[in-house]
Amino acid sequence: MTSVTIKSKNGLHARPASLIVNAATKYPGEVFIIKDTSKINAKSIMNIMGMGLMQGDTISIEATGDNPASIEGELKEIIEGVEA
Amino acid sequence: MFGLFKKKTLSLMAPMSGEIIDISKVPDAVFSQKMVGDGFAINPSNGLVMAPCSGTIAQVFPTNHAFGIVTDDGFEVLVHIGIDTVELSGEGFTRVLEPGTKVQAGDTIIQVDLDVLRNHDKSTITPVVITTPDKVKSMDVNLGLGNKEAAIITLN
Repeated sequence: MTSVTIKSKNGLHARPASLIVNAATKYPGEVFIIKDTSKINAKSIMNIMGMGLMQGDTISIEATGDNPASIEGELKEIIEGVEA
Repeated sequence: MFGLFKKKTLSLMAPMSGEIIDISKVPDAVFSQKMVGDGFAINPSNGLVMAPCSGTIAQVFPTNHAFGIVTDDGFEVLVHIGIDTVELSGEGFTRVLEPGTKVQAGDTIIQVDLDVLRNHDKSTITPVVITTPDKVKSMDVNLGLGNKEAAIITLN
């Protein structure tokens, strides 16, 4: 499990959410984004946007399968690299 | 008996009045390259934004510039009002219905003041995107003005 704080001004809207889904979909195992009591499938853009994640929110990324650290690190990089 | 072979289709109406355009013409690569999913877009002529099909409002983004509908079959469609409109932080957008509400096609979910978008140099082009491609076998889009039936989707 990897923790990441959203720094981008506009939160996880359509553009970052689609980048997350495209990366997560390529990973063969399950990938989840967790905030408080919500745990959603990171391969669903609707689920990600539905969380309404905004600047300052801290989330956890959790993957199953053979190499969870690779996809968790990749998603952390995507989320931290969002510019707006 | 014949019902077993009957194709299951879903009709999507244009969620706004205006001209239906090809999604590849949307001035944002996230949508034109179908990164979010396939669909169509609208060049709107007024600010009422409606449910494109019957279902439940799955989500409304906190800034009210995008919402999703999920049908009873689990088909999901996302309506994203304008381009880069997340940057307006909700200015110009008014939420009419809340997530979790059951809606019929044509129910107004958001009202948007298109002039606010124009004054901020934001495109008003509104992509309508299917976010569950695994549910879709094929899609026919009716391009042009005044099509209430914007797309016919054959479901898997």
